[in-house]
Order: sequence, then C-alpha cells, then structure tokens
Amino acid sequence: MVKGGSLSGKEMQLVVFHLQEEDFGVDIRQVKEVLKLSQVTHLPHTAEYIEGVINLRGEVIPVVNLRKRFGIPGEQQGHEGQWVIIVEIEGTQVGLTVDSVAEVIRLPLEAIERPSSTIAGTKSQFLEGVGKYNDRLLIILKLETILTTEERISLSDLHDWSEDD
Amino acid sequence: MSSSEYKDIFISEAKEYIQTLNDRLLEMEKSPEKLTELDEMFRAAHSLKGMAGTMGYDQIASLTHRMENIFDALRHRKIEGEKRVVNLLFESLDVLENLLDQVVEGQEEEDVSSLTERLKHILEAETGTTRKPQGKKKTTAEKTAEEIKESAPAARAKGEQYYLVTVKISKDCLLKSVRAYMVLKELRNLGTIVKALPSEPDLEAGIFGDSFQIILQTKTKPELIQSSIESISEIQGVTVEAYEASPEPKKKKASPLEEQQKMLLKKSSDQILRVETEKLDLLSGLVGELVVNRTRVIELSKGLKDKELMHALEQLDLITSNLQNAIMKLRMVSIKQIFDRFPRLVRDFSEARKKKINLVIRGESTELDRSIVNAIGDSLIHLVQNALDHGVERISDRKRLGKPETATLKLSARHQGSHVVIEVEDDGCGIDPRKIKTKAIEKGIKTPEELEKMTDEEIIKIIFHSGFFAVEKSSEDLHQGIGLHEVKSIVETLNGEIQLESSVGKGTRFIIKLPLTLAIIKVMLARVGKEILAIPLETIQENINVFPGDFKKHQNKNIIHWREKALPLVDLGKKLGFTGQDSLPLLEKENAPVVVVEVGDRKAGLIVDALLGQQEIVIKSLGKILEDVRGISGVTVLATGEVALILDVSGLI
Repeated sequence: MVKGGSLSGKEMQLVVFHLQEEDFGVDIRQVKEVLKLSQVTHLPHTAEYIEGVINLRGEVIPVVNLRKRFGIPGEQQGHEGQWVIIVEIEGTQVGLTVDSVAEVIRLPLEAIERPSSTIAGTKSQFLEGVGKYNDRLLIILKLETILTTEERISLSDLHDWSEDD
Repeated sequence: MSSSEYKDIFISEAKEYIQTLNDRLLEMEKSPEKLTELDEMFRAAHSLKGMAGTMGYDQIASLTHRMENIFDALRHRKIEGEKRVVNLLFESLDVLENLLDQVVEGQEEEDVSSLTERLKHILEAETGTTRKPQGKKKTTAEKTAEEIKESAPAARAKGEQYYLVTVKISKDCLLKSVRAYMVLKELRNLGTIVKALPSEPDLEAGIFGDSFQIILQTKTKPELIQSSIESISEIQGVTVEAYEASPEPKKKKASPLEEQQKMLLKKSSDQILRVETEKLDLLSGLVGELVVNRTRVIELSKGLKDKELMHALEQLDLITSNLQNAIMKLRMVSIKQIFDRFPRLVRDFSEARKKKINLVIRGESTELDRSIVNAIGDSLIHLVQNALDHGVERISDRKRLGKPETATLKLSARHQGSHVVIEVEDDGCGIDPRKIKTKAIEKGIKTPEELEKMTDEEIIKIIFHSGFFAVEKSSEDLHQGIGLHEVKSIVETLNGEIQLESSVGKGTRFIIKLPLTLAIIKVMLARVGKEILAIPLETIQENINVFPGDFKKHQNKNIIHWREKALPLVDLGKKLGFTGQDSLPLLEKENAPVVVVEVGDRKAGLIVDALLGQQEIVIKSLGKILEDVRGISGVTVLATGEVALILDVSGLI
C-alpha cells in the first residue's frame, strides 16, 4: 500500500517505463537506480522469467525479465545494453528488465484508482492501482506480490482489470 | 538509546536468565539440599522481574514475581522442593519462554494469571495462608526501617549501633559484582547487614550504578568500618554515618524506573558490545572481498618483478590474513548455545518415558561459526530424541540384559583441524542390520541381491535413505527414526558429513563433521558453457582427463572406470541446462576434464569444459527471491567482477 514519504502533499512520484507499448509505473521510493544490463550469469532450474544474476558493485542481484513475467511475446529481452530498473523489495534488491524508461512523474492521488477486490478479481493483488496520465492508462505495479509469487500473470490480466473498471 | 535497543538488551539478558533458571532448577532437582542453586535462581528471577517491570512486560513481571517468592520460600525452607513444586516451576519456565517469544515477535503478551494463581496457591498451601513476617527468621536484607525502629533500643542495649555505609566504586572497575561481594562479605564480618540498596542479590549480580548503600548493625567503630572497606581495591570512597531509623536512607535516590533503565544501559555497555548479526555479516562479507582482491593484486604484481612492491604486498597479505582470522573469531559462538537445551530435554523425556538417563556433555565451549550453530541445532535434537526413543531400552529390558539401569547419553564436541566434530552416542540397543535388511526390501529400497553384496556397515547406513522412514514413521523396535534423511542433507548442505557406528546391544554413535566457517571456502573454478562454476575443494577427490574411448554406457548412464570402480559421469552443462538438451558434447570432445567429487559415500565425475584454477571465495546467498536453486548453494563475485555459481555437489550427484 502507499505510505507517506514521497507523497508531497497528496501526490505520488512514479518512475514510468514501457513494456510493449504499455505504460507502467513503480513507486519511486522502491527504485534504487536505473542502469544498462551488463554480464548476466544464468541460473539453472529457475522460473523462465528469472534472467539470472548480475554483479552490482559487489552485490549479487537477481534480474527478472518483465516481458517473460507478464507473458509478453515478441522481442527477446535480456541482451546486454537492455535497460534494468533496480528496485528494493522487502530489503532485497532486484533488477527488472524493461523496454525503456520514460520519465519520473508526479501523480495526484485522486488520479489513481485503487483496485477493489469485488470488481477486480484476484489479479488485483499485483496492482497498486491504475493512474490516468496524459490521457493514457498507467499501470502501477505492486512489486512485492509480483516478485514473490510464482503465479502466472499475463499482461491481459492486468489490462482486463483496468478496462473492467 | 531507543526503546527498541532497550528491548534487544532485555531480550538477550532475559534469555540468559531463563537459561540460568533452567540449569539451576535441573541441578536443584538432583540435589535439593544445596542452597546455592536457590540463591542463584532467586536472584535471576528477581532481576528478570525488575527488568520486565521497567520495560512494561507485566505478565513476565508478575510471573517472575511469583517464581521469586517460591524460590525465596524454598531457600528458607518454608516449603519443600518436592516434585509437584519443581514441575510447576519447570512449567513456569516454559511459559516464560513463550512470553519472551511473544515479546520478540512484538506481540501482546498472553495472559498467564491462571499460572500465577497456581504458583501463589502452592505457596499459600505450603506455608499456611499468607506469609507473615516472622521476625528473626526473615533475612536481614528484608528488614524494614520500621523493624529497625522497633529493635533499635534492644540493639543499643547490646552496645550496637546502626550505620549507613555508602560505598562508591571506581568507574573503570571491571568486576563491580565482585567488589560489591567483597564489601558485603567484609561488612558481614563486622556486623549484621540490615538493609542494602540496591538489594544484596542485585549487588552481587552487579546490577547497580557506581555506588550503593548498606545499613549495618554493629558494635564496631565507624572509623574501623571505613578503613576495612577502603582496604578493598577499586573502592573509590566510603562514608560511614550514624543511622537514625528514619524510614528511608537520607541520600536522595533516582526513581526506581530511572535507576533500572540506567542499570540496563550500564551493564550492557560496560564490557560487552552487542552488535546486530546483520552488521557482522556485512563486515565479514567485506573482509572476504578484501581477501579475494588481495589475491588478485598479488597475482597481478608478480609480473612486475618489483622488489619493494612485493615486500609491501607481503605485509598486506599478512595483515589481511590476520584481519580475516579476527573477523572469523567474531562470528564464532560456542556450541553451548545448543548443548544447553539438552539437560532439560533429556529430563522431560526420562520423566515421560520412565527411562533413566544420564546425560554427559563434553566440549560445550567448542566454538564454530554462528550460522552453522544455528543450522545444526534441530538436527542434534533429532539425533538425541531418536537415541532416547529408540536407542535406550526400557529399564526392565536393561535389567534383563545385565546393563546398568541408567543409560548414558553422551554429547560431545571438539575441534579437529579446520573442522568441528560433534558426536551423539548412546549405550542402547544399537542398530540391527538384519532388521534394516528386512525393512529395506519391504520398502523397495534395495533388492535382496544388492543387500547380499553389502557389508553390515553399509547396511545400517540405509537408515539415511529418504525412503526408509517414509511411511511408517518410527516403530518401537527400530532404532532411529524420523528425519535422519533431513539431518544428513542439512549436514551436507553445510559442507559437512555424517557417519554412523553401531553395534548390536552396545549402542550407537553418530559423528558429525562440520567446517569451522561458512563465509569463505576454497573452490576449484571451472567453465561450463559461458558460465563459471565454483566447486568446493572439500568435495573434490581428483581432477582427471577423460578421452572419448573411456566412456561406457551402463543402464543408460555414462560411466568410466576409475580406480577399478565404475564412476558415474555427470555432464554439468546438460544437468544445469546451460547447453542444449540434445547436444552430445561427451563424445565429440577430444578429451574432457572431469572433476571427481565425493559426498558421503557417493562419488561422481563432473564433466566441465575447462578448469580455471583454485581460489578462496566469499559465499553469498542468492537471496530471498531465489531461494533453493537446485544444484546451486550460493554465488560469489570473482575479482574480475564476474559472478560464479557455487555448486551444491550433494544435490547434484
């Protein structure tokens, strides 16, 4: 849930990134840095969307391929030079590969709709909410659940909900 | 200091007190006539009560208050230390531990008033209604100013006077409790201690600031009192003044709450610095990096042939090694932490099963890495419980067999090179290979033909097989039960090994060998596909080169003959999914480097693409998100910045 902190007044700061023409946002307080992917060490017998681990200044950090996580077909990710957002979840750093990182925005809280479980169904657990931004829909991810369950999530699940509403 | 830091101190000290209470109670149960145990228990309960009260943990405070009363009654022989009382005290300790867990978890303490009522009841039933102050039978320390007033004329008639003795101990005194004890002892020689502030038990436990006060009833002249106390070392100042029985000592005291908080702070910061283990882990990780990079720098400088540089590097080498050792020592804790649980466990067990067991503990001060101690605890409990359950025979059976009624269970730890060896040994019935055979066939673990070829030693090791206790958990007639397979895999994950010796009718011994530390290990680096793998040197027997003609197929597996035995081969690239499923690198290669590894009694040859040499590495975990990657026990960052995967050999072969 959204806590106080970067909410100056009644707004939320988000890092916006793209995946397959979609706009996604994550709470800026969870983002440690954005960098380009360098040497990835692959891991055996892990979920398909675990790209591997990287060395970030002596720390070993797992990298999650977000396209694969959301079952988005098309261009492969995981090559060197790919953009990676390093986020911190429950004290652990994780890298997320994204197509591109757009900008940092401030969104008034009233422009964010919270998922209500009665309408949204189970998939709402992966969402912090949906924001309206420049007449586009911005899917705000709840990283804790996305990265700690192995449940399949497809982009259409996330999308369905936001259109449902 | 924040309240959460107070809480941490409280928790760790409370644990120590509970452990003391447990230990002493066990002692008392054995020899009830000894009063020293009771004094110590009384003090522990008293201190715990005070701390809990200050911190606002009311349930702990009220429970320990009742316990303190019982200990007090016991030591003054007002009640007897019979079974019923001892059992209730043990029960109270268990509840106390639960309450402390709740404090640790940040939960609300549960209500324990029914237990405190029972404690109160037992005291009242034994002493006959509520306790009345019984004049002379009461300890001197508990006399109140009121009583002093009453008895003052009588004392004066005997030529005795009351004096208020204020003792100030120097600030840098290391063992305050000892000084206080010496002062008390000296004063007892001179007269009668009427009252002490803080109380005598607290003084002897060192729970006070840098001064304390005592009211002494004596014929001795004040000058003499003063000089005899001053002769004790590290006493900064003594004042002796005549004491008129006013209700409280004259000197204005801080409120009890402030006093207690000050003491908590003082006691903890005096000699021991408590550090979060996380910070320690970070430090040892960094030192590990330093060690690895030192090696790299030394390697690089070798080409330069600069004498002065080499000399400086030798110094650096020495210093980093010393630093590494010092950090490793910081991470070491004594195995006492685990061994301490056993007297109680064995006691409860002998009660429940009506078996007589003498627990012998050896080498409890043996130290090893904190993380290993934490990881091995449950396994030892498994082994001990199994030995008690299935190893030790019933008393009647032991008599029939001509064995002593009381069985001996030995728990020991010792250092052996860079390892720690822990043994669990019983003098029970041993493991009968014939029974194991029957069961192994029943469970389909081995065929009768296979068993034919096996020695008894090999047969009893079947009890480590995952399928052996799978269905029927533990039957009475079979030695050793649940979880042996888990115990074995835990030990192996820690890069250790477990062995088993047993002889029918005589007993069983489990021998666990563990490395001293987990933070840094020596590995052989090998390349497989694009990745670099680190194979723990512990597991490596030999590196060999294998030629295409050496391979044989046996039951659809690739094997080679090595030292006159069939050695199964593991193609690491394929096994870990780093190379395509249908590639046949084995037969295409000119010759393949093979690392022969052994874990327990399993051997295998790991096929790799190339060997890159030996190195010391720092183990890093894969973190929460990637827990339990099969075949990989951790990762490490090499000096080149590449990430290498540490192979979990026992999980692969």
